[in-house]
Amino acid sequence: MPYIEFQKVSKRYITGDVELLALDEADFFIEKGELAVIVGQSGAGKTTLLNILGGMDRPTDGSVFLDGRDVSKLSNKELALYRRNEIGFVFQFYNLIPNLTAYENVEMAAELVRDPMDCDKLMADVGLEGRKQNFPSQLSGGEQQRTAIARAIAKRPKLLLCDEPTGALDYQTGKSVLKLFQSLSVDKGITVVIITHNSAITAMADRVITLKSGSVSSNIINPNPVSVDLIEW
Amino acid sequence: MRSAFVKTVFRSIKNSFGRFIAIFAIIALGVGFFAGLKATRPSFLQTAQSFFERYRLNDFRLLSTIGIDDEDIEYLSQIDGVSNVEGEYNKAVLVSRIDRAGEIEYEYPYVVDLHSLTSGVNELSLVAGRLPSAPNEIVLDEYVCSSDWIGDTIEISQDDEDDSSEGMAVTQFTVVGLVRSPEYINFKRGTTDVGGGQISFFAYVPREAFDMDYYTQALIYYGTNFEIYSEEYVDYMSSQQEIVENRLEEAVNTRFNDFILESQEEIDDGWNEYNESVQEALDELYDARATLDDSRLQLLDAQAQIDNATQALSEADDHIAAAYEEVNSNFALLETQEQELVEAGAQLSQAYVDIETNRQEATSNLDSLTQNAQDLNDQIEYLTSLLPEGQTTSVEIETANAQLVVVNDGITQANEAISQIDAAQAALDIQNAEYLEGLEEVRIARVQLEEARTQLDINRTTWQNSMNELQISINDYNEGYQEFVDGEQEYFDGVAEFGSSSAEAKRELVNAQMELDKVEEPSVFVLGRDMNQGYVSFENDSSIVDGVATVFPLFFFMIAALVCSTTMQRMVSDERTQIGIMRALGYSEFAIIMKYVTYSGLAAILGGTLGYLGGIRLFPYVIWEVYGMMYGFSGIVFQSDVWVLIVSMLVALTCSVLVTIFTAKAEMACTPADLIRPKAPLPGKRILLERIAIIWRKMKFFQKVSARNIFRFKKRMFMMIVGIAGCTSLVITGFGISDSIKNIVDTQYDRVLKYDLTITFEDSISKSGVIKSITDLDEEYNVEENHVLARREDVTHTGNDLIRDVELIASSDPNVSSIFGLMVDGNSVEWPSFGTVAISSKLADKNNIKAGDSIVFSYGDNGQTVEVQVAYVFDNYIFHYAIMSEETYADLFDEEYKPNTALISIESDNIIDTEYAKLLSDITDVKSWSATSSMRDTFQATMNQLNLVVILIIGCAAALAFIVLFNLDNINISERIREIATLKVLGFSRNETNSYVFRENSILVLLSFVVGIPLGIALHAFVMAQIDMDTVSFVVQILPISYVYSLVTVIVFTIIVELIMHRKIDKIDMAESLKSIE
Repeated sequence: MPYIEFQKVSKRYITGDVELLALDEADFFIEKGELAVIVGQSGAGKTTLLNILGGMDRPTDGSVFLDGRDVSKLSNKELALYRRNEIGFVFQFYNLIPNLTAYENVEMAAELVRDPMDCDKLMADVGLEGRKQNFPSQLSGGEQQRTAIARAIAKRPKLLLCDEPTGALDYQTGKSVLKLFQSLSVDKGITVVIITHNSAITAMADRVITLKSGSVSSNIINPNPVSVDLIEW
Repeated sequence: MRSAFVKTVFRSIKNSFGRFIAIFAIIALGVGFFAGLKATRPSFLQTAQSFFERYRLNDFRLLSTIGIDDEDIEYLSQIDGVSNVEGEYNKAVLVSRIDRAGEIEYEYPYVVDLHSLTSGVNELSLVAGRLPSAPNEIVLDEYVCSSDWIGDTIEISQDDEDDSSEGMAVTQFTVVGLVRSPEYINFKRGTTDVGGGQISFFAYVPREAFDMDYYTQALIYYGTNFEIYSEEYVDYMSSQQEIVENRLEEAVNTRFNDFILESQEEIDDGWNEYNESVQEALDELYDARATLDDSRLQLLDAQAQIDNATQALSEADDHIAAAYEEVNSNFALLETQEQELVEAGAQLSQAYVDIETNRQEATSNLDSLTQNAQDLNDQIEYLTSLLPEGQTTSVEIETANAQLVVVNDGITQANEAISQIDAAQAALDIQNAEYLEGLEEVRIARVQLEEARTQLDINRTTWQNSMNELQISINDYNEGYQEFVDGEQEYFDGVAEFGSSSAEAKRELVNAQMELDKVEEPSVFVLGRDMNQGYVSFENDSSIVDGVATVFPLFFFMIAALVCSTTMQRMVSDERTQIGIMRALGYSEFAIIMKYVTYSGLAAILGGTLGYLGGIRLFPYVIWEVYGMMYGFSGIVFQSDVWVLIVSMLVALTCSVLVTIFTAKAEMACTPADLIRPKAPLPGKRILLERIAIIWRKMKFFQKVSARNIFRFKKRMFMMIVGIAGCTSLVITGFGISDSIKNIVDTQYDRVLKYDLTITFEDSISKSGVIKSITDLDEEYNVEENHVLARREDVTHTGNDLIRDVELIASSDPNVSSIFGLMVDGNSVEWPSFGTVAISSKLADKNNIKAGDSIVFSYGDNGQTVEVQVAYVFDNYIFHYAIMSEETYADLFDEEYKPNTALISIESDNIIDTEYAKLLSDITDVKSWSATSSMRDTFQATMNQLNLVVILIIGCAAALAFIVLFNLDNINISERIREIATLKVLGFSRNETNSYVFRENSILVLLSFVVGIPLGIALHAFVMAQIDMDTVSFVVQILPISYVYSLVTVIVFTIIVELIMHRKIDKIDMAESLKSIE
């Protein structure tokens, strides 16, 4: 059984008389340790998919498995624990707690789990050794995103979910962030799922899943993922 | 565009309804509080005003020392502006109530202030039944009497010391209705010198029920439109007072002068009459004297004549008497002679009888002897014849011859005797002749004597006649003399009477003159409404809330401004992007701001309107209900000044619109380009606490976060602290008011005045009589009690602001401390020493009198005063008391101390106080009695009413807390929605998320307590000072448990709001919140 598996996952939103089918029997899987990129146009159902995978939402139909566990039927409380223990999120807009320093933001996540990573080391790993005591407002976008990544992995999650992680960053910074993901995947063996509309990024992925109108149109293994340095967009 | 604008506004409201409601509610609360409290006094005044106008409370009450008559009334009614003038009879009387079955309901007479009905002034508000239509019908005080009095009989006491029935034409009335009178708007009915002194209730009867020469008073009603208590009214009335006073003086003086002239004339006439009658009397007396003197002389003459006649007659009497004596002695002599003659005659007759007898004896003796001799001769012859022849003689013849010889001798002797008798007869005949001669002599002498006697009888008769005549003269004289004596006595009496009566008449005249000279010019009194106790106290009491009305709302408005500010700021930031777009599209800054101004303005106007309309009713209503005990004269009339509405709205709009403009302006300072981009969250900052490494390091991670967050949003912190501190202080004030009032009744009657009954006896009952009846009663009913005898007097103290009734109690009963708990600052103190008085705390505080100062009391009808030094001020909570020893009393009032009251504390529970009082009054003359329990109940009821205020305050506090907390939490959550979503995404559990958010709240609530508790203490003190009552002194205190209650209450409010907010947090959609910023 694959590490992550979506089995005919559908998500329907009903607003008034309008029914929106955000996911239509989406079927895919991702193996452990892979760096997967899910691409699709706006409205293809990327975010819905991420929400469901991240335990922020439940599918209307179908099942979602992470490491052999059906996530789609969990209660709110179980979902909270699921998010806490198994998922690390990285968002487009970083979502750092503005009132906490970079280090504290990481520390806060670390406090949540029994066996967190060492925060200082983590900060060093993401290249923010000297910025630990700065508040988010004192950090650049890249630095903020690095902090967010450090925060996400401090909990040793089974899965690192990234939603347009470079969307708010300039080219160079974006690249350095992507590099960080690649190194986390390659060096630490963390399963990373990046959701983006930027298909250029697919080149660095182990697996590329393409979404179209709520369905998975392709799930391709990239036999030769390239280094981020080589990607241009 | 307009419609688009309106649509946007309404959509905003719809989308952020909670926010809109927050502004609406805080404005409603603030305005409600402000307008409500501000409307309380105007409503009260309007209530009173309407009542006074409807029932035409007199503007002036006129009194004169010589009464008022119809002419005076007529003269007074000519004053310009006067609407009505009415004369009124008024008298305090003792009455008893007799129910329909004829049973006396209450045998101790009520003291009733009896008025005659008036029309056009002081009209009555009928509460039940109907108004009197006949002179024997009465309407009673609704405040005291209940409707079951209707139909009962009220009887005026007939022969009491106070002459209750004097001046009354009717003394028995049927109760036909219950009324309120504008003259009595509070519960006080005043005092009088009749009966027990305290007026029980008032009553009105038709004018015809009175029988008095003059009206007791006149009542004037102007019917001005001036507001009561207003300066205009006071000014107008003080100018009118002079006019009325002059008028009244004129009218009364005219009447008085006429009276003086008439009286002087009368006195002068009296003198003339006096002089005339004195002269007349003297003349009469002189005549009488002259007549008497004449009579006296005549009487002396008569006396002399009588004396002479008496003398003459007396001599004549002697003569006659002597003559009678002679005649009588001659008669006696004659009598003796005659007697002798008669005796001699008798002897003669006897002698004749004897001789005859002797002759017959001798003759018969001779005859018998002769016979004998014959017989013997015959015998001898016979015998001789018989003799045998031989014999010549025989013995028998011989014997017979012998016998014949003796018989012959006898014959011889008999013849001799006869001759002797004849001789004696001859002698007798001589004697007889002599005797007859003597008889003849005597007869002649008798005739002569008889003649003499007849003459004497004639003389005697003549004398007797003279004597009778003399007697008549003497009687006449005596009568004359008696007449004279009587006449003289009469004369002397006359003189004496003349002396005394003329002196009396003279004295009377002199006195009359003196009296007349002494008659003072009549005084007149014109008393305005300011002399009506109820009217005056009402002004004071109705102002109580006004003081509170400034502080509370200020506070609420401040919070309202903060609420609006934060809310609108939040709203503007929320719609930042939209604003940016609109600006970019070319909307003017003004147009955009207008949206928010409209939004908040609408909330404020709606809230303000609702708050105003609700507040001006709710607050006056609740407070009026509280006042109902004291002033239940009418239902509340709601009234509010327009300026209150204007100020409310201005403040409301300031709090909303102005704040909105400033907030929006600040946001608007950015360029549209900046606006379109999301606003950077408030940057994190290090706080001061972090510099204190020792503490900071010891703090847990989330504590650090909270600490930093608290200081991150300073405005919210400030608002939170102000709001919650305010709420805390309100709740503390509420509980504190309750603490300050709830125990005073118990403390007063359990610890200060420990007696159950105050029984005042008639003055006629002696001290020992009182003690005896009490001990008798105790024995009979097996009652254990503790009593103290005291002298109780109602006195007054004229303070700076008010005249206060003070109950003076004088006693030196050794038992007294068991019934009076005199304490200073909670420590028991001794009974005040000689020459000093102890006064109750409120009396002292109100007049700023301290121990060592002196205090003046007025007493009696003429306002006599005494001044005495204050020994100390004792703790007391209800009414005013002055306590002194018997000796002090006697010295001060300069009269012998005599107790008139027994203060009784019943220890055993086999009898209740009222029963005891009734039983006691059955066996002795009780003037009045009162049970502490009823007073206690009355006050307890008032205090319970005050609890309404407490509930009102706590309710407001709750509303405040809800609004503040709800709003803050709401803003807090929506402002930090991304942060919260992030936490949720990071896997924070529900509780962790909630506590992350609300930990700050908890800390702020605790911080608010630090501010709120002292604020509450201050506010409580302030409120207590404002609701100060004249006769009640509150114990300004907040019990420790009340702080606990207050804090728990606020914490409960906080928790309730948090629980509501938890749901909001639960609803936060992580994905949506985190996705991007629109």
